[in-house]
Amino acid sequence: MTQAEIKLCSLLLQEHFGEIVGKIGVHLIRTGSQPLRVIAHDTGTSLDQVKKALCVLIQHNLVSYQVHKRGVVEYEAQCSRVLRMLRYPRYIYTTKTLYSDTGELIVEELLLNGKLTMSAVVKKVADRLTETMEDGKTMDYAEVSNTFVRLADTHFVQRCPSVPTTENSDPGPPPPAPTLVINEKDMYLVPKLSLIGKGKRRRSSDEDAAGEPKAKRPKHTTDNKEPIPDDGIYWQANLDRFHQHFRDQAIVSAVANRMDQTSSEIVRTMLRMSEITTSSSAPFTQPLSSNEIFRSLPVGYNISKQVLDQYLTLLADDPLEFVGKSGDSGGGMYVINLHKALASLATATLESVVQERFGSRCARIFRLVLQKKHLEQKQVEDFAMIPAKEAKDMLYKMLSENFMSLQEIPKTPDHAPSRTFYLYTVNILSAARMLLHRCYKSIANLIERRQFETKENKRLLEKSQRVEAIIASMQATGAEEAQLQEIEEMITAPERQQLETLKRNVNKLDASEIQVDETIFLLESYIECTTKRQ
Amino acid sequence: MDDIKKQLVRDIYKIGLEHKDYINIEQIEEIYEKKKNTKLKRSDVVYCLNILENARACSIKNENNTITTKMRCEEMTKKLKGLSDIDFLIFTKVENSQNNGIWTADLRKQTKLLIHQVQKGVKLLCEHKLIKQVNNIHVKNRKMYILYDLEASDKVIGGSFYTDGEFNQKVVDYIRENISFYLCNNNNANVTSVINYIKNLNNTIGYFSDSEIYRVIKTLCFENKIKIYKNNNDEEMIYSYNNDKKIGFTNFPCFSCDIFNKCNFDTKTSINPKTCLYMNFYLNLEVIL
Repeated sequence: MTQAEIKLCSLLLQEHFGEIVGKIGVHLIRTGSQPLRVIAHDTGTSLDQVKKALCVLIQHNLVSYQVHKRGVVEYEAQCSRVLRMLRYPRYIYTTKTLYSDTGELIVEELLLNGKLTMSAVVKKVADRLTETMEDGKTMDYAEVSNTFVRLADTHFVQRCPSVPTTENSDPGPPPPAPTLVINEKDMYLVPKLSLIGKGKRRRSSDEDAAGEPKAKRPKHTTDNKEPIPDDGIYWQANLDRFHQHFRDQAIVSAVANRMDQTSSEIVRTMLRMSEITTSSSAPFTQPLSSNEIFRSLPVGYNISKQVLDQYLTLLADDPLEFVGKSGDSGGGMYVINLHKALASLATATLESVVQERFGSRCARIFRLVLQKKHLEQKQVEDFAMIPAKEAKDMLYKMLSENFMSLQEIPKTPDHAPSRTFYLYTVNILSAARMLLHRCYKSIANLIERRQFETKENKRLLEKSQRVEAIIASMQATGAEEAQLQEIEEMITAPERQQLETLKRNVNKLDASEIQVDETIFLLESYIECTTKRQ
Repeated sequence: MDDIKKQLVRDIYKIGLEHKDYINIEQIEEIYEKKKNTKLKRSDVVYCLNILENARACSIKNENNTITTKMRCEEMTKKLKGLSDIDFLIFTKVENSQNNGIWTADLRKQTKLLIHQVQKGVKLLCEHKLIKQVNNIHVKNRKMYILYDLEASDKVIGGSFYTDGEFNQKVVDYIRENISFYLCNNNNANVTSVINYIKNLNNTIGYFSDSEIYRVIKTLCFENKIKIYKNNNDEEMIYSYNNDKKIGFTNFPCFSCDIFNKCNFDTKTSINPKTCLYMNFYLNLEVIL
């Protein structure tokens, strides 16, 4: 774990869960797996607080536990899972685009709460949707349940491992920590529940104080004394499935940029057909025949079989090799080369960074060396048509920033410089790792800056929230327009401008975080698939 | 040497001179037979070549077990006759390097002479206008020498894009701009039409061969601005990417920051994200220097 990653995890945990949970989480990330008492001792936190913090972290799948031989339970932080918190807005937005508002809220509730039963999710989401509806209208539990089932069928949500139900005649002492298991067949099996009801509107009361974060809101489950129909069956968002979707989106988008819309639709169809049958780490999708692809094309696309075959041939012949031909039966068998596609996307990202960082002439040299694999300095000058002095300067700059590396080929065993060839080359894997580290630090910078901007304007924000709360309560009691305007004028015009600026900056920083996270996703996917192959 | 032999030497010298380039013994025999209608003995040819070599009128080399020879003009032969053996040795090494040239260190290695002998010899040969110095575009400090009446190869002096040993970037940029302009209006044009368009601009920029213009076209390929592909008729076509879509970040400061490695979260240091000037600029905040 690099310092940048640890810092980023620390910022994320503190932002989402507060200082104590953040402290415990970061401690585990730094030190590795530790038992409870050691955590309490090292962090100087009371045992009770450590337990509560660990509960929160385990609930959100950020910490796992393991029973060791001596019976000691050790807790280990899942750093990569903590970094996934950056991607929560993207998961939620993706579900919104695929399954509309209902799906969006289901995934949002699961991410906010870590794990929930289906009945709890359905109830919460129905209530939230009802709040947004017109007076008199409510959201039916059945509709939310249907969306939940669709999410489970398409593997966007999955069941959490649970305690196995064993018939033991001899109970014996209970283990220090339960071992949770899940049968793969049951992972997406939705229990048959008859959830009948409608969402309820929240009455405006003191319980619903504005500005209080949801995590701190008192849980209402204890009020409900009815038995939970699916008690023990918890669900969580299946992040791997989302990542598969993002990867597919990136491939389709790349094909659309490189070729045209029709080619991208064909690739999208192939990926959709392979969604469930191909594992997320597979190098290729399962072979699909041209006939199958033709039958599965969206209804709006009226292209003939012949045109489809031409497109498939074009895709298979393209140097990027996103699509490959694996056989001739069924009109031709085609696969999507997932690993090659990820490699191309990662390479394109690197090229883009080099262009932004060093300029278009450096990018020219970078692409040239990528294409030719190994080149001497003179050859770079000749092919790129850049003066020798400038080319040398650019090569050294990229070398110092680890975008390029030097391969020495000695003519004599003494490696004398005058008798050694020095060839420039690009090692995509190491350049990708370097860039990934830069991305982590950049996002940490963005979060720091966003928090700083908010903190600087804290007084003004609090004033604005107080004014809004006063206006809301006056509106509820039927105050006159003049009175409301008088309250609104408590925030002066310069203050209003300042608030607008703050809002704009925070939004911009948020958007930048998401953008950088997209790059992180591509690089991480590429590094993961390349290291697995090696 | 009798008159017949002398005449034979003169005839072979004349044949070699007319040929201009290196000629092997079989070719000499063939040409002589055609001219004189008599067959030439191998031993006679060898005898004549030895005479000419001793007189410094020709150079002989053995390439792939084939003896080839090249005649030197009379003027050059006169000059070479006046040289010492050391200077003549240096001259032959320069001559052998042809239009690639040879630098003083290689001369020293090949002749096994001392450095001052090489330098003195080279200076004398330059004064006699037998050899000349050329600038190597790759290694400016290196003094390279070729024969006086020879043109150095493009590898040494750089070709049409080099002026006085310096790369003429403006010409290359001008050609690239014109290629982009042509492709803007004629996307999916074939390579030949692009080259012809650029050649028509030669009045302003000088003469460039097809291969040189193609090299410039390839630089646009390396910048992902165009793609070269083959159509159904196996013709090379150029497709210009008019959309300039960028991946991910565009203006975000951290990726193009030169002092990124010094950036620290500790606010006591001057370079930190909270007070970063680049970030202020990115957020359109006041930048106080």
